[in-house]
Amino acid sequence: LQEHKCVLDSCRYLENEGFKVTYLPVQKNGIIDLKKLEEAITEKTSIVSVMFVNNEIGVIQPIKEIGALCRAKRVQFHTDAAQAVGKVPVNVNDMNIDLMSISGHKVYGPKGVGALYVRRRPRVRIEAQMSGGGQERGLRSGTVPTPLVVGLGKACQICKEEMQMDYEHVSRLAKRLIDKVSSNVEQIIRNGDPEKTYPGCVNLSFAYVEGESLLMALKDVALSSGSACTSASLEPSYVLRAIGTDEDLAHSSIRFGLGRFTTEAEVDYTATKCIKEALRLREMSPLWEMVQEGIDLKSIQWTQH
Amino acid sequence: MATITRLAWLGLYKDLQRASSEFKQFGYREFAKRRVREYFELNRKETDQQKLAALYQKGQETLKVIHRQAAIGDLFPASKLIIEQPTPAH
Repeated sequence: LQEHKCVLDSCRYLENEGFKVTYLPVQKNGIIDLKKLEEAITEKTSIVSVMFVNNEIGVIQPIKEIGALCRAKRVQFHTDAAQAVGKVPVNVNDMNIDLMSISGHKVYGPKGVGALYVRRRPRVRIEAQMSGGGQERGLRSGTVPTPLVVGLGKACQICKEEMQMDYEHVSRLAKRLIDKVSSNVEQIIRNGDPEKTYPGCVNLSFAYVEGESLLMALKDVALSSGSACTSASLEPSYVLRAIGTDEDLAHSSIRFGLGRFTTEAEVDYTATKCIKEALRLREMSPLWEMVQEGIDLKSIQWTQH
Repeated sequence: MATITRLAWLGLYKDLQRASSEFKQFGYREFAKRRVREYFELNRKETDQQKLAALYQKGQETLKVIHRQAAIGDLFPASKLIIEQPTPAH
């Protein structure tokens, strides 16, 4: 259960249509358990969908292994690679990917364009999203917006050429941010697997600090407490809950996005401000005071039901 | 094929850096400067004349791209980022 909101909602729609959808849990580090996946695939399974890189905590799923498993079981494999393309190496043939979603603005391309990779052999049969002139073998009818399409292609080309440089830059920034924040504030937890992660997405939990308050305090920096795609609710991120983060920690998490155009100076500014505000908010927090006094918060019964 | 002199390379580097400084937007400016430097460092030890010629060509084209993009950026008002502003006294 660690998909993007839009995939989850599509699944819900399919369930209404009468399809059976199995949602798989993930391990503590945010990575899917291959054994559980294997058990979940039945004879009737038609498609497996796994997110390549998670948009909230940045963990990278073992796509190659999942692809091999799906191929062996003759199940089609869809991956939402919007966060992966242009940032980590992706090869649809090596990884046995049958369907792959790509988004334009995530590869520094134009907004409002995306792509779906559809494997021709073995053939993937898909229903057209809309009907019309029957372009592209009847799969996607209508005229494409040329500037957006060219923009997407060029953006992908640049990403491919400069992937190594971008990756190194982003890793450097992520390390700088995490080191700086965690060396100055205690009880910082990084959500997600520390190794198998795309460094451009850093999700930190500031224990005993309410995430939304911290965001308010950091209003001159563009950050989020979850993903923009789920910002309709103030509930803690379902991604964090899926990896077993405690409710209180899930409420206190902040997601930092780093990219090609982020600079050291910006990271330093953000880190400094974060440290200052987190310490200030803790200073005001009664919870923090209780923790300092040695009270275990989990032992307290807050409400009487 | 004539080799490209050290002076020409230095000229290209300086031109690229100067052009990059034209970007009004902080992020693009810093990115362009950094990326130019990274490309030069990456190919510092390149000795293949043909590849060097191709790189020089690419540099010239990039220079045009930077000039053009910076000019396009000038068409729209850009506000300074919080980190560019002089820090107010707290």
